[in-house]
Amino acid sequence: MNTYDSDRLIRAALTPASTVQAPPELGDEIYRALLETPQRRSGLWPIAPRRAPAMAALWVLLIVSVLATGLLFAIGALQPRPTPPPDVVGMYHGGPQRTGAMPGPGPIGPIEIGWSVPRTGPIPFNIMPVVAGDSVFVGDGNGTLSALDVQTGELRWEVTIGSSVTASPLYADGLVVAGTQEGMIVALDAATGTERWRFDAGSRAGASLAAADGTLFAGTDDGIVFALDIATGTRQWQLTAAGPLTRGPAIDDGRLYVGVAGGRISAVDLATHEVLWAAELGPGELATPAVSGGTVYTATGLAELDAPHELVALNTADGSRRWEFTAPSHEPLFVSAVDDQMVYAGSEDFNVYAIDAATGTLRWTFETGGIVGSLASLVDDVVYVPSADRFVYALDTATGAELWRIAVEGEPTIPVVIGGRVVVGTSLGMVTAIVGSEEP
Amino acid sequence: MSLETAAAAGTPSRPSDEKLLERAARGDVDAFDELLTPRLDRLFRMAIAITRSEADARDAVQDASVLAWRQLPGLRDRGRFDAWLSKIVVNACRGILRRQRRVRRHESEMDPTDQAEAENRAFAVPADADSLGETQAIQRAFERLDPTSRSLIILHYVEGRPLAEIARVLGSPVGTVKWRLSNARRVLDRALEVERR
Repeated sequence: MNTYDSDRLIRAALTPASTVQAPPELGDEIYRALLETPQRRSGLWPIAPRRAPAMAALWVLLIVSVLATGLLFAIGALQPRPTPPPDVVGMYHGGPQRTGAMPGPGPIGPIEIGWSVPRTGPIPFNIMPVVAGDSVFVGDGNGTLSALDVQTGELRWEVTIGSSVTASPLYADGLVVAGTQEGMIVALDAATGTERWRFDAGSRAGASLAAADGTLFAGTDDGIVFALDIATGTRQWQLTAAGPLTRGPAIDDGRLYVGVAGGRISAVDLATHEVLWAAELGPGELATPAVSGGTVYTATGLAELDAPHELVALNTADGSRRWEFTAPSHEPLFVSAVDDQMVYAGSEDFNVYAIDAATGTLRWTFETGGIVGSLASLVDDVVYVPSADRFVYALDTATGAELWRIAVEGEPTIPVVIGGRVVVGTSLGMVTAIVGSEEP
Repeated sequence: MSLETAAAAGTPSRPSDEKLLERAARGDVDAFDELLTPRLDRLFRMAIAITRSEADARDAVQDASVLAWRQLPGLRDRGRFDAWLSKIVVNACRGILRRQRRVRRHESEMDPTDQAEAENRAFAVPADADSLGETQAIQRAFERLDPTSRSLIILHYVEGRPLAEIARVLGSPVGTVKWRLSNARRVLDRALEVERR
């Protein structure tokens, strides 16, 4: 049978009968739901003023500031100063090693939604919000990059940078950078949203951005990794990978680890740009790699139905295989998070697997109600897991015991755990802060 | 009633989609309802093709409609309303499928007669036995595909959308769409080969 006949058969088998209609009551149900749903509007949530205040107000502000500073100095001089916790989660999955380690602390006490605000488009699970100081920065499927107040969710600014934000944003040195469907890498001033530079990467920038030592790494669907000066957007160098970059690279100890569609993972020396080693891991796409303790972890066979789906551990020195893990269901796995004891793997079989990082032995399993495809976050002995069942779970890392779960509106992204909050974006375009009733 | 006939009869004609979009984007629920109603059947058929479940298709269309309403003020190119709405429905279907196991549990629990009846309502059954076997083989293979691959197959083979548009709907590059479509097609072709042996 020729291709045309097969096409015809497929079309016939999968096309609904022409008599199929929407149930008559569906329209009324939708209408009732619309009546209860506010539209998202610019300005519905107040935007911080950008105009310079009047001069008189400036003087008052200056005098009050001087007095307050003097008072605080007097008080502060009498007390030991604790080291403030880090207030930045500036990169996809917490940092260039992609382990999911977050500064925390997580929420304490009974858990609740602190605030939840809509953005202009859906936030897919591979686009993580980033946090710097008192701001949350998020990109969405409508091409908008936004800054929100981390305490209240109040909108500070929003800027359209393309038709869709496709590379998870990155914060560094006062800039917020994101990639677009059109292949633009755009850097905005984090305080004001003013564009600082843009770089034309030539094809869709779909890999999450990474940065190290003042250099930004952006991967494209043409298989190019660009190294850009993060302050100016100037191209420093580039390399051609063995296939399309569908997921971002990991960086550790002067090396870039990049996996491509087709199953090859390579280690590249950032100083010499030399490919140090490459490993072929089978057909399909590779999961975002994570690097920890001399090992690079990835998962194989993604988007390839009949390929082996393994989580593999490779020596960073030479790419040799240390161990591999297959879920009992043989369903696809993802490298959700890594600490010095365990690798946490989400799966399309709805489970989270905790695997001994040294031996590849399964330690515990936790079942959710949906695909665990978005990556997880780690703070001390808690792993925060987002699931397609629209819950965020907090689990004990040692035992997998559930500490809490909370429902959010839509499928959540990687949780950003900082300052007593868990911040997620969702597939329904919400940015949500999960808090505890006690101060961290 | 066509616009021409309505005009001739002196009855008020339905406002244009452009006018309705303008009003809907300013918060007019009735205008949005007028936009949505003539599109519901098409959206429902697309959703049922992807999810292969009337209940899931219903949820997907409802979720998508509410999301579209909420985000409509942010739609910059109103000329692309239909493509934008289809994108939201496709993503709603994918979201629902991501909460279901590949071979849905309920299929093993349902009475086979009920299941067949539910499927027959939505999908035409070929008359001859050979075609029936091939049709069922394709449908079973289709249900093993991941949510994105199912959406790709439906958008390409059933909806006839060009690859560039599919790439925009799924937020993927054209190259990846081609590659994943080819993989998904291989799965269906293999199922057909096995059936014909």
